[in-house]
Amino acid sequence: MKSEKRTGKPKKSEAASKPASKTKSTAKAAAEAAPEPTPAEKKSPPRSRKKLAVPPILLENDNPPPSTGTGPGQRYMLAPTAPTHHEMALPELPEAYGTRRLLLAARDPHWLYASWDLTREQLREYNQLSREGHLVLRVFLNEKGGQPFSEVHVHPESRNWFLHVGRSETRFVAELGFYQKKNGTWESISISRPTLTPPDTLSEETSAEFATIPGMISFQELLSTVQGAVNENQPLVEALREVWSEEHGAFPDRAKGAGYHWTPEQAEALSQLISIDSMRRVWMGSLEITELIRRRLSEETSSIAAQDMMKRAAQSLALGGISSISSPFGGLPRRKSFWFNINAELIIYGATEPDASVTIGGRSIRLRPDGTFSYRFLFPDGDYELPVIATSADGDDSRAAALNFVRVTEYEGDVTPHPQDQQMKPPGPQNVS
Amino acid sequence: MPGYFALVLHAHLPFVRHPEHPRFLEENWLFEAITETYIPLLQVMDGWLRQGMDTRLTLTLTPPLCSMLLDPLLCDRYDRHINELVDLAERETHRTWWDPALRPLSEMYLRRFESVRETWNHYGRNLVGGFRKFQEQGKLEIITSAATHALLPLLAEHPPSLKAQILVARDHYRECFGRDPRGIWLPECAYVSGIENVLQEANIRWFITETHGVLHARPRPRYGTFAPIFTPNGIAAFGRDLDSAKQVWSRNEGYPGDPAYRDFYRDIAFDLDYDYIKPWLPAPPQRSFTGIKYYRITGSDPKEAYNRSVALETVDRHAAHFMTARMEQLTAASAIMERPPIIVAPYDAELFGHWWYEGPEFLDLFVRKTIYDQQIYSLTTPEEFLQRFPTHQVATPSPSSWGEEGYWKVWLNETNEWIYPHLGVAQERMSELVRRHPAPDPLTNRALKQAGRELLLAQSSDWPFILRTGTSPDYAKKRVKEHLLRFIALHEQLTNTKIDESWLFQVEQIDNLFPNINYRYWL
Repeated sequence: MKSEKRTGKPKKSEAASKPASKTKSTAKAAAEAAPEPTPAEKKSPPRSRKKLAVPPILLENDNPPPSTGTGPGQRYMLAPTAPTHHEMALPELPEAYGTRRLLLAARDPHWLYASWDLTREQLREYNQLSREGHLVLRVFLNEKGGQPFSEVHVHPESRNWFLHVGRSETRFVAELGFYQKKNGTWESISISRPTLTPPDTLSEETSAEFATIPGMISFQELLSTVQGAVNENQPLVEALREVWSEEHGAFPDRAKGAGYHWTPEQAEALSQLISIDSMRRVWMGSLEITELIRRRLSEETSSIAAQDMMKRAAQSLALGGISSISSPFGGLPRRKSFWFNINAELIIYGATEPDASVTIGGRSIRLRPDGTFSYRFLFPDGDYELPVIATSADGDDSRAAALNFVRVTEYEGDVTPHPQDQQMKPPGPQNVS
Repeated sequence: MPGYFALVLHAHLPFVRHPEHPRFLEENWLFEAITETYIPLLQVMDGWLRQGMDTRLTLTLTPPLCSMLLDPLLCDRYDRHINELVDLAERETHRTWWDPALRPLSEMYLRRFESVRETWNHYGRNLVGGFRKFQEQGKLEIITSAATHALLPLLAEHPPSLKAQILVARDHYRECFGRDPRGIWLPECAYVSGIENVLQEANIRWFITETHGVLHARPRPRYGTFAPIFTPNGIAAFGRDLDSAKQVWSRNEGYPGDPAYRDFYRDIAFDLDYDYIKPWLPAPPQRSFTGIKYYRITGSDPKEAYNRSVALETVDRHAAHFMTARMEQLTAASAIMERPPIIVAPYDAELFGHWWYEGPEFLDLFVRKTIYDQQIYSLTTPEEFLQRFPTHQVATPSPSSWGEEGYWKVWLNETNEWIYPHLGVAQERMSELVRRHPAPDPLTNRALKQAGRELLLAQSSDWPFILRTGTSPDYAKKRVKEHLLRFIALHEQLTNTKIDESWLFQVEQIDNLFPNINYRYWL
């Protein structure tokens, strides 16, 4: 599948506005802080400079408007609408500090956030030296070097960017720089520390190692008992294991009888009890978890059941010791030839008035009681078109969206489709109900 | 018994204290939570204790919340607040005298507020001491959180910041509870690899992650969320159980949205004549909640009057349903596992009573039913469970949070990203300041402490959360700016100019939490 490199649109932010110096009037500072107006903005009529402050009480009828919310409350809510009375006579924060530092943070398995600390003067200077008149953010896999994974041309005034990478469990490093006007060569300004996107799936690694950590002994005492016997930076659990082995001989990896049995049947049965909020949560205001699209762990369990068959092992455990479960056919950890599975799914979702009617490709769909809906599809290669129309209950109003999707996958080498939920169907009006 | 259930309540509010104003709207966050959640919880636990019930509950009391609950100014203001509420309720009993639907409700509120005031005074206006009593009796496990509830994964790039957030919290816990914390609530359940190194230094033994923090651990945890895992450095991570979370939290399926329950939004502040209600508004002319609400959720307008006995019948049914669901889950899991399964169910404490008015009754009934009506599971705390079962699988949890979409999007998006570049610079500067002043004189020492306080306050996860949800964005923005500007001024004074002692004194009076803060943690 072609990798999608969508970039976040930079937003105007506090940090992006020029600070009001103590000696300047607020209006002047604000005028200076405003970016160059776009042609569209230039045409718009000037805003009135002074707004008459009307006390809210004068705007009320005899009967105040009814409260808008309903149901249980929400964190930090003091009134149905946000209070606005705080005087905001604070000076502005500096717009930047000029450290040239590039911060890179994985926000979730698919998005990175980058920000760079350049003053307005520094930005101007670099933009002038740049062939394109703006900076370029390069993102590399693992470490800087070779071909960038992604290269984003940022707006001349930008100081941050949300970058879609779509790669979970991957280490990224970013570099900020520009292509020089004089010869087109790359000039680096700053390199970030690495960041790691979180995983978004169950681990394929199913070996299990157990440890006993005596709760009443402090970590400081535990660490001092292993001190000297093992490497200083070894994690505590490993260090304890090593010390145990040294004192008691070979670790009882093969001991049978008293240990933990765990069969693929048990794994499968337990997976039926645990559901995972696998894809997303839709923010709906009053409570934090509002919708969970569930995926049974068994979907993934089945794909590795064969692997689990190799893992049956019994283990004994002495208090204070550690045991691990390894293959009954040998003590070495699992080694398999390299492989790669990939697949894609498509989710469409939305919300409207609960009493509205919504059609997808002319087929009426059922809304949940709160007006939301969602559909999850397979997403094989192909072109898909899903026209969606929402019509108000009285039929007077409607809104439409034409959703078009294309998936084109190019495989290199031995790549197989990752198993998918058997009940899902490809996107199409015939597959909604 | 075949299984265990650990109910965990997370009580937290950001540090809001404005001595420079006689009244301040956002201080009501604390006052409402005291009236509707913290004191009702103490009352419920008092009831369990009186009847000799062997209960177990885990409660986070975050450092900012403890600081506010122990603050003399805020305690005086709460006195004023509860007295005014009693006055308002009394006045309401007169106003609603001839209204058969509302009169029992106004009388209910009057009794309720009077009883809250009585408990407040019974505990000597010291709720931290009240909760400590239950901990010392073995019924309650109080855990700590990060010093100002910072979203730790977004600080992880600067390890001294992680260290300061956790060790300052540990020290504060010692001052409040006279012992070390055993568990920690990672703010927003947000975990990223690296946090456990500081937890180990603080001798903190366990924390809680969102469901996928454990399910997506490497290697795969064999027992899912039915058992904790040990991180490679020996700290236990308990995964949140999704089924019990959803039964309470889900907007559509969750209990608090039942039409029989009291509606949160329909407050008399919005129903009554302005002149009548004005003396009880925290920030007139703006109308904001008073806490007296006469209507039930109903489902559609017009709303019907709240019927307390119907609500109590409903909460009894929900508590029984919740218990039965846990029995079924644990029976099924224990039949598969060769060890006793545990369910860990964490919730915001303020849900019980403040957002969901019948929440304290739900807790009370659920715990009573659990103790008297079933034999499938025992109540426990994560700490007690670890003492009893010290052997667990070793795995590294997955980065995760309990916020929308499960990672950091709530706290890092277009509405609040502007905060982080400032924090990034301030954090580095804080470490530089501590290095620069290895043996400070008393005044410099004070300035360094205050710089630490301002930085911690700016790092609170509450400000980006509020900017995202829009409940009080002006205030959140003001607070971030205020703390960063104070930090910048202190940095300037400690590096280029000289310390302005009278200004420093003023700031110390306002942002006065952590009087004994150890800024060397930033080294």
